[in-house]
Amino acid sequence: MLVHLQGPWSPLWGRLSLSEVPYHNMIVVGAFAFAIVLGAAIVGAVTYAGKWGYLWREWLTTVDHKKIGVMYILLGLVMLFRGFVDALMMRTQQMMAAGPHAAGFLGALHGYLPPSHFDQIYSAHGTIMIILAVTPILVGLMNIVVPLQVGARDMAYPYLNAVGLWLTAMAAALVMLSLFLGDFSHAGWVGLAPLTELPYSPNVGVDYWMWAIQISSVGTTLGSINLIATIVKMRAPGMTWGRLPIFTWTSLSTNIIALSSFPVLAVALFLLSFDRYLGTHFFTPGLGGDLMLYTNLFWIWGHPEVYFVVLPAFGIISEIVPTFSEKPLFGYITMVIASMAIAGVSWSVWLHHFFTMGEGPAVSLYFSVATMLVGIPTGVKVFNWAFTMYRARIRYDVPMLWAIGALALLLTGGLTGMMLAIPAINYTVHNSVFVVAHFHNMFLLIAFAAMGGINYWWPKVFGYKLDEKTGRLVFWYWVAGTIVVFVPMYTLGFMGMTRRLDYVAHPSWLPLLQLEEAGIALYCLALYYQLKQIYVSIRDRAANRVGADAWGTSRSLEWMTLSPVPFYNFAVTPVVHARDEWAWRREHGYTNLRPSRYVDIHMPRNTAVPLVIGALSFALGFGLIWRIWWLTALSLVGIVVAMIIRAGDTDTGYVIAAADVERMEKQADLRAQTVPGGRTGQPIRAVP
Amino acid sequence: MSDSHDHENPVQHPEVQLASRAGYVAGFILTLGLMFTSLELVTHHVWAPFKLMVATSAAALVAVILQSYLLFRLDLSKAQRWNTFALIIMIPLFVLIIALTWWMFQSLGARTMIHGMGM
Repeated sequence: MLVHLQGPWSPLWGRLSLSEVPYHNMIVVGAFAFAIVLGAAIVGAVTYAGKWGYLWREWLTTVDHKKIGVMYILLGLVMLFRGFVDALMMRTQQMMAAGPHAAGFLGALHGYLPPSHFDQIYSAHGTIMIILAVTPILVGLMNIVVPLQVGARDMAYPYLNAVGLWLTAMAAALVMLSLFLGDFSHAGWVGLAPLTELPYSPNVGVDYWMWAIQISSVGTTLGSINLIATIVKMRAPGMTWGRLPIFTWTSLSTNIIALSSFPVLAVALFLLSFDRYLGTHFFTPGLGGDLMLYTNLFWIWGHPEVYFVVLPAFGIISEIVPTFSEKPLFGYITMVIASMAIAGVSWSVWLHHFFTMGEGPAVSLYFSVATMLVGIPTGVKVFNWAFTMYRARIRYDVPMLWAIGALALLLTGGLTGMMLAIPAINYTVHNSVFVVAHFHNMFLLIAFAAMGGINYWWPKVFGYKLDEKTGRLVFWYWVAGTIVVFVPMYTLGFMGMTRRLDYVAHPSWLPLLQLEEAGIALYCLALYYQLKQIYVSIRDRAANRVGADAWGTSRSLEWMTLSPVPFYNFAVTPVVHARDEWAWRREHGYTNLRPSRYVDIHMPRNTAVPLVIGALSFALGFGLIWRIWWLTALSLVGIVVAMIIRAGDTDTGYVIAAADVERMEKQADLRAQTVPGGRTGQPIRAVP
Repeated sequence: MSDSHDHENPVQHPEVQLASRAGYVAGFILTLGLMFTSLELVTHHVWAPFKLMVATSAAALVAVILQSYLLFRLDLSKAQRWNTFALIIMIPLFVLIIALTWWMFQSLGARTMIHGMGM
């Protein structure tokens, strides 16, 4: 039943052998040494500080939505770094390999990366940036903020939340492992069929790509169920649909998209695995298969996925802009309708990713019009943000800078998107770096919003602000890097440069490629200041402590509870009276209210089962990739057994007595006296 | 917005209360049977391609209905009303995806395939 393989296979080790370790590749050896040194330093530091117990109790086995969110974001940032290194390598290769006289190093004819290595790098870059960097950062922010914004104690399913995190983390671990054992896919992040089929990609690269995405998307789907259930069922008394903060609304629409689209990706990848493992022909041209069927299925997921990542970004902007404009958000209802409309239209636009398939003018016209329709709700959002800022007392704090930067990117990204929605233009620039520049433009919008979100909610999570001065430097170097990389890239696209080139045949393009490399250097400076910002902020945290309302003009429910948020979120479940509850309380002088009596709080208990399921999923993926069937079977059985054991566990929660809550709240009050503005936070600045 | 069930005992959840051994076994056997029947029909090329496609689609639809009713116990009762509603609002999405895919591939086939080779 299993397909015949090229190359050796043994029952014990599957396809694994020592020759699969790419020790002859100096770049990989360098990366390996870096990983070993960094890993040893982290393990050594944790051991030296005696923090393993703390790490296990407080983080690895936690079901607290805030800690899970922090770990999601940390994972996303680490993978963002990895994806950035990939980008740096690609830019450097193209700059070094322009024209027939370009010198070659490290076994490459031109530049320093041979085609097989370059192809793996761009495939890894796309997969990592979209699925393992941007998505975890946004999921992390939703995890932290949504339960707080709806006034809940935790997510609806805290245990499921941890399972989702560990599945995503293990998928990232598989991708990282492919660096040092075997290879990664060379078929692009989309998995170009039939290049992903076994005869054309006989190594394990495509299997790494396929199973990593499969595992992480199970995590994302579970997360979406959890967030939807939290928003629908866990809202505090008085939190009606009309009072729901906009970030929560966008989280709802984005997770409806995730829940309905990720299964399509799972099906597409399962069919591909049937082809690769069982010898079926779903995506090969012969025997009734159709390679465009893969492309179709992939983008039925892929385009909704684009909105899955952009909608939370819009939600973040919608939270930051009113806070730093010191005004309510303009057009709340239209904002909600626009979020839902974008989610709805996202289901009718996917063909624009392969307009040149040859489906004819009528079909193209439908998808072209549907794609342009997305501009309407998006335009509504942009005007709403603009009207919020119009005649406002705008403060240019770091989160606001990121939000405004995101708006500028939305303008250029949106306009080039409109261009690409026209099939005639699409035929001209398709497969060029113009398309690459466009979607990087859009993803940078998301990254800008996410950076804004991290700066905005950091004080809520950790109790102190990120350093303002270095934060500004990070922002401006990002802006400079973005302009210097992507303006030349748009230009090269118009000049006819196709994407995914390991060798650039046109030496006259060299100056623009060099300019892009200079932009990458600016991003490197941004990275340096980013690390410095975090270091300086942690070092000076005592001086930057904040009260509940870190910005003085925040509006929604999460700013009502302490900073950092206690593990039980709210001492008593808040009662909501208005849209922008915190702003309403501030206006009515209710910011210093204390509960007349405390009640017992029921909380979910920590558990190691999600971590175990994650580790077993890693083993499952590893077994499938290397075709080690005993390991595959064993880990699959292990996962089922772990789930059954967990299902039989009735002791999954505990109760904090009312007296303990009162004691902890009193301690928090004492601590808050040292913070400017006291417990509630900074006063609104005086109007000059 | 408030919790209507006991935190300590998951067996008290209304969804869990709907569990039925006979229903699970029947649902499992019936849907497996439908899948094997479809597989047999296709592997032995029992009918012409179009007729096969209609038959397997019909079998899939029946399997979905059986699973919804026998495995997930979806109905219009108070406990399950919203779950049923959530499934039903997915139907337009499903139809949209299938219809658009069908349309684009039919148009593609007419332009790129040798006539008589496709369905």
